[in-house]
Amino acid sequence: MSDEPVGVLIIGAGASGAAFAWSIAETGMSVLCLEQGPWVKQSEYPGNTMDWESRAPTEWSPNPNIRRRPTDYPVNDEASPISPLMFNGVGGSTILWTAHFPRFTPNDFRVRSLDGVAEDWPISYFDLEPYYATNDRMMGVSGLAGDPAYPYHEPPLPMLPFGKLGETLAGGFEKLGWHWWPSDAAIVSQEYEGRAACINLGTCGSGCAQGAKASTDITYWPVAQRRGVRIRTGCRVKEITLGDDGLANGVLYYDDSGTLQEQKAEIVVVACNGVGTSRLLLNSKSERFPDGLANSSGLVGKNLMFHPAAFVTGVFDEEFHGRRGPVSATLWSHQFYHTDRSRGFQRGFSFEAVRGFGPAQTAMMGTAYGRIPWGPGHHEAYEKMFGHTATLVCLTDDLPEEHNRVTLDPVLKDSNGIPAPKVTYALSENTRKILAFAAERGDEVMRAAGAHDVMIDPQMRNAGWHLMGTARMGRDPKTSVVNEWGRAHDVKNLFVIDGSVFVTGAAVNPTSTIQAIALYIAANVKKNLASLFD
Amino acid sequence: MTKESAALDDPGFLRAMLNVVIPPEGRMPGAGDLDLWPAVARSLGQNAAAFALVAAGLDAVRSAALARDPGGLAALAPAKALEIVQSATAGHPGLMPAFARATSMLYYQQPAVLTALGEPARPPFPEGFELEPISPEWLALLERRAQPR
Repeated sequence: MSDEPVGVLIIGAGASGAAFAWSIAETGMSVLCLEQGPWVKQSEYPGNTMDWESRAPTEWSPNPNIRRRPTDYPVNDEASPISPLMFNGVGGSTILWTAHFPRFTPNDFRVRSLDGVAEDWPISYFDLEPYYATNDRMMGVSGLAGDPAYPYHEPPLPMLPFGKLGETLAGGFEKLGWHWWPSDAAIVSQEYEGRAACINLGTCGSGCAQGAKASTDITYWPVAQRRGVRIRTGCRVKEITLGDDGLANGVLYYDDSGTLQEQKAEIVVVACNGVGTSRLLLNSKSERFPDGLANSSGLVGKNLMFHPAAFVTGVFDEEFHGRRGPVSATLWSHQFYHTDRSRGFQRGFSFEAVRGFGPAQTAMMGTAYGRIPWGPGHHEAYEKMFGHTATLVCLTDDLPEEHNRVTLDPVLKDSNGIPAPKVTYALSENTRKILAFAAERGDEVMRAAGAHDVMIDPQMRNAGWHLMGTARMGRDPKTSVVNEWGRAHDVKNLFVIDGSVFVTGAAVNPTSTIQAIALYIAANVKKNLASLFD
Repeated sequence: MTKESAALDDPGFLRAMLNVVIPPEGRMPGAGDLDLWPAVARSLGQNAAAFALVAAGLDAVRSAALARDPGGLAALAPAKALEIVQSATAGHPGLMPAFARATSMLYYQQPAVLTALGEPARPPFPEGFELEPISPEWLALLERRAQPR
């Protein structure tokens, strides 16, 4: 069966696909998005029920290997110390993110020039700046203008409540004279564009039942649909097809009944995240591209970057009610962000403060760290922790290395029989040094803030939120997969718009930059539409 | 008796075992007093291999308790019950990590426990929670430090 051809076919309805769809719809072209997951209802999120703490790490786990919904695909992560995390559905991983919303800094685009490592991007912060601003408005970003770590920008909404936890941590940074600033967050602090203000549920990571946290199913998609974009859910793309002219001419996909369908398109846009995109390209083999579509460089799937993270949790005497409030909207610090060679490593890390844990998760954490025993002493130990913890995530700048990669697993397949991705990843020596240094600094600032006990996970496994680098952009087709505006060097009407195109990963959460890039690419497609196939 | 485990068919033993893991104390109820076993069993049952280890461990604890007192674990004083559990679990290292974890996860979602902790016994949504805004002093400090527009 074949559907009517469309002008633009977007694969994936997550952070980047939504932003691109909204922008490209201005052209009046017919736009269709295929998404393997469903629309998710806010009434389904765990925060609606008493057992939310049991549901969050199981049926709503960000790890597809734990969640195991029929709409998920498995990921072989046995050869990686970090598990890739994602969600498949309209909104993609923004359904389960915490909406911490930093931008990259201007220096992040020039690490080769500045530090002699990795590569420079073919675009700059200032190329993206207008798209960052548009995206902030579309997502509804709250924050405080004036952070000296960034070029001046103004979040459209006032900062979220800081709470006693935020002020206590800020006190630690002040004592040490270290940079800190209230975090930007894609969570609305007041009613905005039909979204109700944040009411501090503390469930950001398992979906926001209030709708205050931005996820693209409630930000970009409703507007894009009003502009005429169509979304077809339950559709898993098997491969991108190629015409005799060497252009992509559509896709083969399985619909929600498992029937193989064909969809023709003039332009194909891939937005499946840093693992899913390379999986799809590698699965799209042809005579012309026997090693996967758009892979003449051999770089599809290579240079995978994650942001390895250390977690530092302080236990304080004060009662914070720390789980109440937006999880990752407290403060960030760029004190150790840029290269200082005296530290013995290149690049650096950021601190991202997150709030405390719910009642059950406090017990889980306390047990895991050996702080809460079973039997006698359980209640006394628990009382010292519940409501008394704060955590700093130390997010490292993970430089690209070709041996860190996504390939196709020879055995593992999804429910449609499509080969699943295998992730092979090793921490570099540089990253290990950053992690060790970061954990020490985390301990230092927690104690300066008044923590009487500090628990450290030196490298968290379930931290593969940020999937980047596997189809990177550049001007040279030999050393990159797409050009400086996301177009595949090998296929003129094929675009990659997600974190796969990142050249380097910076040391902050990437979604703000992913979406700014998607908007930037859409703007370039619009600008070059008349000559796109020349 | 189930084919695999006498302990799993002994509600009195399971209640006593849960009270050893999280005992009643002050305003806090014991885990055994909250009829948690069916939910704990469902949770553990998601991993058949781990559940088998837990069941074997529970059988060992039950047998040891019965050898000490015909009334079993429930009839023993808390200190004696603890001693029996510690001793029997030494030979079953797979028991307590999984059992205590599942028990804690479910215990701290019970309305009676939340109330005892001073927490509202309700889901987070739709009422949500109050949170203090940043204080004027901190805000003033940041505004002094902010780069100009």
